[in-house]
Amino acid sequence: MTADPFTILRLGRVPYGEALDLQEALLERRQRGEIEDTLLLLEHPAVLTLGRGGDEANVLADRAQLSALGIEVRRVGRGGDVTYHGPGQLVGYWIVSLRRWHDDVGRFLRAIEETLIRALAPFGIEGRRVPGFTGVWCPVPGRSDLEKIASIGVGIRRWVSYHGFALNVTTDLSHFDAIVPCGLRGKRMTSMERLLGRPVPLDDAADAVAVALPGVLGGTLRRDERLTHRAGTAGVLTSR
Amino acid sequence: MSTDKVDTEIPSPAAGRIGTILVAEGQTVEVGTVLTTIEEAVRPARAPGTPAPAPPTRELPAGAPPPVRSAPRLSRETIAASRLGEVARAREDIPPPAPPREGDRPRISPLVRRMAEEHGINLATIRGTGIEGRVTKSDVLAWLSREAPARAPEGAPAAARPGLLAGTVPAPSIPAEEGFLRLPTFFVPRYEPQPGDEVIPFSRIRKRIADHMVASNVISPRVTTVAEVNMARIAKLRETHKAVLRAEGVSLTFLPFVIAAMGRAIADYPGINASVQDEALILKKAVHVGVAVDTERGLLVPVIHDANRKSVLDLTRALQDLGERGRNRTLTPGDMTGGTIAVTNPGAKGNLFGTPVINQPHVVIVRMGEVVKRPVVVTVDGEDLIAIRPMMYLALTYDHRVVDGVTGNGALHRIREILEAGDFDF
Repeated sequence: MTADPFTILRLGRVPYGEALDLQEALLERRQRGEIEDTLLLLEHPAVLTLGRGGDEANVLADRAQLSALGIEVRRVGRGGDVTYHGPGQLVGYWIVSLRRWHDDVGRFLRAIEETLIRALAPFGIEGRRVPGFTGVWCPVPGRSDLEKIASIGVGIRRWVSYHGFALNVTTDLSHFDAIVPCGLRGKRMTSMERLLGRPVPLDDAADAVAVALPGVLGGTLRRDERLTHRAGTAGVLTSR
Repeated sequence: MSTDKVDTEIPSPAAGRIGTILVAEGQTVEVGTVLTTIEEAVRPARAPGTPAPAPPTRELPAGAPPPVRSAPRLSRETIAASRLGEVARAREDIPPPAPPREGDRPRISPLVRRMAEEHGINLATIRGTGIEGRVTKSDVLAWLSREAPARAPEGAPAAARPGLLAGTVPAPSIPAEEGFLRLPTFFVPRYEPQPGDEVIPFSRIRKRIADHMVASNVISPRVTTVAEVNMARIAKLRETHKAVLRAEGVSLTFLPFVIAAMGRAIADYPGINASVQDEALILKKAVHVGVAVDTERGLLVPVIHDANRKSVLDLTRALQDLGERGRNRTLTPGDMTGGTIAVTNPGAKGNLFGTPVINQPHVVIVRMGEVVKRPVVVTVDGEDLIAIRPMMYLALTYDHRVVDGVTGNGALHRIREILEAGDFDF
């Protein structure tokens, strides 16, 4: 770990395609060293995404059904199988140089997990790692199986990452029924709301991630900026 | 190369041209499988008529240009499927690149060029860590933080740094902003095992406590103020109600009185029942008091919700309940969240007083000292007398970012008045 500064930008709710464009623009600029490590925190309208290795068969609902629900399906350049994004889910995109982790992708994934585990702790939620199953898992009273609260999938281009995590805060978990999450049959998804028995504002979850991050990165938080006026966001970020 | 959760490009370990591709796209392979070969000595296409260079050789021919700097030298000839982490670890063994030679024109971004001009830096003197040894913004910043203090005259302001976005840079919510305050790095000497030592790895809860304490210490500039409180009336109330509660199996301590007094003082000093978030002070309407409870796993801070609306007896029962469930591990997430202020009562061994660390994101924590009989001056019928009274040093620690001395001192003084008046609802 280095003491490099990093930035958190909170974008509010952003359509998947728009956020992807922004990610790619920032990825390129991070590769050129024009910006520092950046974490984007946002929320998507309902969408299903398939990672590069994703199996179409893991999308259980048919396309007509999905489009009736207003759910888009997209294939994207990250690892991992199919996942669902939607309202009430905190999505974190890490545009970071892997230099912080000595170019060790495993360490990077563990750092994402660690950030989420630390962010969940103040809510009284115990997040766990399961070796071999990247993501954050939670014990549930009365069940022997752990349930998954956050999915992780990243893309690496020239040792800079994009994509990241999706943490279920108040996600409508029934939408996961449309897929086999991460291609793991029989694994149940959970959310902070389900575990606590009360809704948690998405901003509170984002705050918790922002608070946890410096401890994990060992760097200096340069800024934690709320960019709620989304229309201006991409313009500001891509202009220089 | 794609694994379960990662889709990554593997930078070429050597300059050259792809020879044979041994594994087709989309196939799953074992770690260690050879994927392709690279013909190292092959130069990019030349003008027609130029004779092709010698066919690939196993070793780098003498005088050949060194491989591209950013490439991990796993193997001269092959890229093998490897655990991504191993690729990475192998990279650590790469010797640092030589500084650019005289006359080399480093490829740099306009931002870096501008920064260099601003600070009068010769970029050739900086070792680049970017793509192909390029000097990046981070390199310049790192160089500045090493060199600038030595070069800058005493008291010169730190260099301004361009931010990601245009416009003004807001004040950081963490004071360790670079250029403002740089925290020194300290390396703990490596531990050498000694006979009889015990090494206890941090439990999850211990790690959580440690991280919280460090963060709190960094974030909050703490000021502690201490009041000496005459607990005579509270001691009397305890005696009066003890018997009733004992029948219930509940013991009446000084703590519920302190919590009740805090609840009432907050009505006069709302600034102590607050949190800080995003450069804003959030005054909390509800009063949820976190109470430090010692358990065998470590310190927990369960919360008494709406403490200002509870009677002393209700508070006593709530404390008893939280304490028991803390010890037998049946506290729920709801018990642990939502606190707005905290109190810690180290009990009979609390000593004179202490200065607690703030339970984030609160702005105030109150700490009780031992209640001890002391000779004090009391005024009876207008006459000053020395009397023996149960006294307690009560400390209130506040976050001086947002709680001023007037508020911090005033609030503690008010808590003391309430306790000394001994006028409580049961």
